[in-house]
Amino acid sequence: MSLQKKIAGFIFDFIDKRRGMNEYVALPKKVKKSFLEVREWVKQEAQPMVDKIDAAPHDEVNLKWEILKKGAKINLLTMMLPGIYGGKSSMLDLLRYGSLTFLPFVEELSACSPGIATLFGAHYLGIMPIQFCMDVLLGRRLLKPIVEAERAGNPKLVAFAITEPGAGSDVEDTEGGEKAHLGTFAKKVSGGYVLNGRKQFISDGNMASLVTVFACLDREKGIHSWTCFAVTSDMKGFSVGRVEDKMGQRASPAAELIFEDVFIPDKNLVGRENDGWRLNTLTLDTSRGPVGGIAIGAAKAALKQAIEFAEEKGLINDRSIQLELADMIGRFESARSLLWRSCGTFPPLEYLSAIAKFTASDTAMDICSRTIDLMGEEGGLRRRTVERLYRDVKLTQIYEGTNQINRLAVAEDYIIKKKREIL
Amino acid sequence: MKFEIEETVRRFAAKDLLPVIQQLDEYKPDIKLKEKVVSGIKNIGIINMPLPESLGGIEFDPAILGRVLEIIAETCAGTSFLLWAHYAALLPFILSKKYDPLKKIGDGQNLTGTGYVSEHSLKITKRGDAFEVSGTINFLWGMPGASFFVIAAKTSENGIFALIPSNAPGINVKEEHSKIGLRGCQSSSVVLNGVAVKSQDAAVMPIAEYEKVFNLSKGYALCLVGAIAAGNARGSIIRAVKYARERYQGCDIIINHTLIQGMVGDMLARAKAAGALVGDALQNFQEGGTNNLYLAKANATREGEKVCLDSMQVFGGYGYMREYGVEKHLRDSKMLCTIGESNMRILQRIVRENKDKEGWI
Repeated sequence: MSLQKKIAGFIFDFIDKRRGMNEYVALPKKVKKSFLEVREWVKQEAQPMVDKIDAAPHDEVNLKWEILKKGAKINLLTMMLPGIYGGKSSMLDLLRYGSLTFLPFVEELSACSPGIATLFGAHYLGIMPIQFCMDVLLGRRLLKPIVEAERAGNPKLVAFAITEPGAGSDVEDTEGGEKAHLGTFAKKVSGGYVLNGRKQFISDGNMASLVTVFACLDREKGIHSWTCFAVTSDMKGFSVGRVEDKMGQRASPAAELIFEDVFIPDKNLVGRENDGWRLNTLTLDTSRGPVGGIAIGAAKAALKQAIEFAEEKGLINDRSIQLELADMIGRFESARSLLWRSCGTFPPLEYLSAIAKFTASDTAMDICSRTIDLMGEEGGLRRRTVERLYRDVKLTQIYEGTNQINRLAVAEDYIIKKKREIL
Repeated sequence: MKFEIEETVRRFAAKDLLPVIQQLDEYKPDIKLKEKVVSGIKNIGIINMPLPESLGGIEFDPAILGRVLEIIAETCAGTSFLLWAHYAALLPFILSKKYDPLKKIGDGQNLTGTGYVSEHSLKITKRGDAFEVSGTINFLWGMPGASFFVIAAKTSENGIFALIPSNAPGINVKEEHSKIGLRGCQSSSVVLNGVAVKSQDAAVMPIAEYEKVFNLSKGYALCLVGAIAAGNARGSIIRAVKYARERYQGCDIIINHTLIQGMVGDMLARAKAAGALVGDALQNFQEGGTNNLYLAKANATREGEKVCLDSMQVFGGYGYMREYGVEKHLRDSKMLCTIGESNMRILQRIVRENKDKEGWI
């Protein structure tokens, strides 16, 4: 064999051996390292608690605090914050990688429990408006205590409050916001604002010590006067209403928040007056990818169960089963690729975030459903955790805008606003 | 007659069942509440409906059984399934016209459980005049709680359907299953260890006849599962439309949005088509045929799940909350997909068993 052939063969072998080794190649080394830490944490700390949390009453919070405290040990509630606020990330990371750095974490948490992924994820959702309004001083004042509390072993949560009893999907996207029946208003007074109204289905709302709340300043202008405020749970007039009894994702509470003449000082204005709608859409467009990550993490776990079940029952050599599993894998990998593409840009593209979110959640629902089908009656039993994944994943088709609303967002971007041409 | 039965069942569902469906949907519902519901079913006289008049029934009408289960499933698929387990248990005796073992089932008894539709591995041996059964039933529907349950097994010479008292010696009922749905119908794994079955409690027949009766009973029972799925899907649409008529999105009530009209239209088409195929199969069964029994189950449960998924979307966030009840329809629909065997296996079986027959398509 000639030397040329030998060298070429050596290089080919080297490349061939590296197949599949670079799944997270786009991520910085520090993220990869933290990700492995999270994976270990999930195995050691979260997994043993999942069934207990799922079976607990919907308004039980002790188990949730227990898992949060365990997460605090590896800084799960602050590691995504920029270093300027005390976290491990940076604004540069955000601009360079978008929400991509967040994706493997939610995927890993969700593969264990989509509810636990939402418990932690909703906290970052609450932080996003503070981070994105680019007011560093505000960020340091509001977020530093969160970091310090976590370091002290007593984690604090932040929640994001836009949904109202009469305005859910309306405020998620598209022209719905223009016509939304908004019922939370803030009035300018000397030294601050007075907030009145109710927010509903707020993830982590009953446990949060800080809530980013969106309210109208002007009834006539409606959504155009939407403004974001940082409300702390100790403010007079703030209270928690009912905590919802949900079908799934029971590790993450959804609560009603009530604001009765809550005085918010000027310094707690997040961004500028009337910037709320833009801040909201930037936040949601950024978080839709990670929501897709929650869905796809659960899909991964379901897929794993489907394959294990087929092997356990000796079905794996049946070509119809192989075809079924291959189709599920194909859908899973396609949705995951789309997620990585959508999360890799900042500021995110609205239509791409929406497509990634509804594709991932529809795919995950389909995979969980087919896994149960594959298992037959066993699949519906609690001891086969895919039934929990099925219940949990359903929420990813609903929150951050129902998948129908997300499809309308794509239509708006593609067809009405013609932001993108189909080539 | 049919109309009167349907109306009676509707009244029962609205008056007695609707107020307690949330309690019935707990992971392990209160047994006393279930007994109350069963007593309600008894009071309207539909428990022994498929039995001959001499045994306190009316007559065996395959279509009306489907309608009864469908109507109850609109309100609570779990309760409908509990009744299904009872009907399914009676079927082998009715279809083979061997009624003697059923004489034990009087009005005072609880329902009967079904242990032959799902996966089971039973060994039966002859011991003089009686039989002895051992093995495991992975899903015995209606247990714990049923007074009797029905099993199917073969010796080397005969096939046997046996009605076994649930308190017979040698029966070990495992812990009640915690399930995603159909919680109104309890189920558990049951181990039988040398359980004695008297010959008068069993329908004994040659293997060929047994196979025929087994397949007819299972096929018909699974078609009834399709009826429950169709009813459950319709129940979810009723809830979705009610919500969409009352609530606003933007400046208009939800039902006035073209997107929702399209979705609800699609859901209706799916549910009605699924119900129609079930109805056709039941009608054909009444006329002595077996067309589409399995297909109707696979189709109705699959389409039923899709309908329920969309019904939840109409509600938005409210759909995910247990209070609104629509999420229960989805969980029940998912469990219905799995009954007997997976839909994929059912579809494969249909082709495998019919591929050489002329005109089966």
